[in-house]
Amino acid sequence: MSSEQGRIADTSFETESTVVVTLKKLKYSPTSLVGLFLIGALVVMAVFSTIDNFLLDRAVITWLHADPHAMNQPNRYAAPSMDHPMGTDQYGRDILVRIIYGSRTALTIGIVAVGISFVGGVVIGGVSAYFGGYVDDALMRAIEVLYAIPGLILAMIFMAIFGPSLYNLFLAYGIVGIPAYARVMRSEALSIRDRQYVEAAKLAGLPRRTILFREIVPNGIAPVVVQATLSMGSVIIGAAALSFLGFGVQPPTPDWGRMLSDGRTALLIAWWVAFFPGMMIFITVMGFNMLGDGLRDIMDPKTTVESVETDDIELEALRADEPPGETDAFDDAHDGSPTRADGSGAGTADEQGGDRS
Amino acid sequence: MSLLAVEDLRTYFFTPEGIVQAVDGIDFELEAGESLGIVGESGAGKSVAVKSLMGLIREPGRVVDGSIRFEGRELTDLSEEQLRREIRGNEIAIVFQDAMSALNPVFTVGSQLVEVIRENTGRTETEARARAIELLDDVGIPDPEQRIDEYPHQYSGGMQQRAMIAMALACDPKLIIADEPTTALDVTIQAGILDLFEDIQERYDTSVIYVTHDLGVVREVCDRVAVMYLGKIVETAPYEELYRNPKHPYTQSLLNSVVTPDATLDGIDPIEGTMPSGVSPPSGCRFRTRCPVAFDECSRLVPPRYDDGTDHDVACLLYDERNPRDEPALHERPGRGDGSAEGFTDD
Repeated sequence: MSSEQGRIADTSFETESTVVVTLKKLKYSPTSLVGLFLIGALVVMAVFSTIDNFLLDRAVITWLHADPHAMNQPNRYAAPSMDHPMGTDQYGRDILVRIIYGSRTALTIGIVAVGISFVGGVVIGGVSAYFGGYVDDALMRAIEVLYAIPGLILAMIFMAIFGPSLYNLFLAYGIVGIPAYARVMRSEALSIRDRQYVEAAKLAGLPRRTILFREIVPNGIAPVVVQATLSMGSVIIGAAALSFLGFGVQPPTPDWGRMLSDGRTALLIAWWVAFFPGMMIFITVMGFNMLGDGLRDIMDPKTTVESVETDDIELEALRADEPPGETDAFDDAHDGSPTRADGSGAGTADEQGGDRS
Repeated sequence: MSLLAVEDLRTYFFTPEGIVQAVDGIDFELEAGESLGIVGESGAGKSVAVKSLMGLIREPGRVVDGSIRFEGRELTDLSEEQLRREIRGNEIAIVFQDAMSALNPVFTVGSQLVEVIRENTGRTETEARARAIELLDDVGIPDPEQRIDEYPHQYSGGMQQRAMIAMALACDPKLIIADEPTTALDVTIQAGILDLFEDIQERYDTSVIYVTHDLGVVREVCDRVAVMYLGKIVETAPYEELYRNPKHPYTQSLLNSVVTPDATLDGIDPIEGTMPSGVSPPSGCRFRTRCPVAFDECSRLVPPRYDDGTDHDVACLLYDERNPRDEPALHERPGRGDGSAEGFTDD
């Protein structure tokens, strides 16, 4: 019995879910680690400013540095200094603390809008592919109409209709994003729909919603998740653009797009007012894209992210067996193409190149 | 009254190339507790025939004619929703060829079993789980308490097929359709699965329809055999009778083409040619283009089923009483040793 249990314990590593495996593989991809770090920093900033703003009434940030809402007219457009590392804006407010506070809106917009697009896209794409026929036609034509209009214009139309507010901004960008997700989900669902386990579920008498959300959606969700991380950046840029144009976040809530817009008029005399919020948008978007790229590589079964360590081990073992004189010749042969013989050489070489960069 | 009575079932596929008569007027009956084998080459329409029973034919296919009576109920009249609620799973269940692809890879075997049990019987989660463990035990999965929480890819091929059978049994169906149940398994596992089928057939008192091209499977488990060729059933008989006395030239050829351990390569007699397309089947008898003993009448007359009153039906003009040639002369063809058809049945 004990040996039996030992055998079962031995196999336990296989039971890890795909999510855990994916996260563990992240460590082999330096770019996505950097992305993860950038986003982590952003999340810390956002969580801090949310707690500080709503529970402590900006007490901590004021104690630490300055109140992001406090105006100081004599000190307007102060250049970066020890007191104000990123300078002050046209009302004399400290830019550093406003950037920290601005992370909250940027991140929330990213997460909530992408969440709306994700759920909406998965449901519409899944239903469309599964039911097919007229349902598919109707839904896909509607989606294509949405897709045909540039996202920013569409979001501006929504904001003009609903009125400018943070919640409408979420909704507008959520709806704008749905088509892309719906199409990814639909194409996945179309191939999964005809798998035998779906047919088996049908034959077991399961209802259609169970088949759709238990059999089809979970098996096709991975590409949609990648789509989500990759589009997070563009949603944040889009939201900043809307705020820049005056449709988005309303003052005095600190927002990077708004700050960029406010700094634009004084760009020649006070570059720091627009520069630092712009930098933050850049860094954030880059962080999400780096993470998204890494996730895509990990989830793509055709590329491997791990460096081929087993080869090194074999090499060591072989080296030990090898007579000393022949080691060099062996090394040359082996380094030349460690895995190319089996046709996976190109991917491995790419991967190693990626690791070094 | 028989459990299942199929009469003149016709399933056609309406493709741009023309109408494919995949199943073209088949009849068979199945008694409760009986097992029927449907054999034939790839493309003979076996799978389409059983999918028609479950109402699983999708566009561009359609059941155009015929009747399927299950316990006296006409299945072709039922709506999709009625089929789902009342027939699939709890009256008729199916076991597929490739169990790996018939199990959802993202859920544990137990979770899938529990889902099916709950949906069809309305038991609670805990009851359904207990039942699932019981079922896994019944189909011979060792350590069901542990194994229930594993994913399909952690099961071996044979265990996956056993899990599929457990799923089919989950709601006490009266009929199990096994679509090539052992084709994807290696021979040692095949025997175990076939034993399991016989065992559950007895224990759960179900009827089983085996769809297969493997005459060995039929021999192992079937009470009766129906041979299909290009959408039609050409011969039906109890299996011993069929092996001892195959009447239709196609059945004879099929038995001759079986590879046995002691046959030399010359002793195997494959059927010449391939099956014609279902879009434009040959006129008259559909086998006539490959039939070694075809004669003129075969291209003019569609052979009816000749029933000599012994439960051995055959659809071949050779058995027409008006036909002067009353004996198929297959084993007198040149270049063959005789008696290999009988030789097969002897072991």
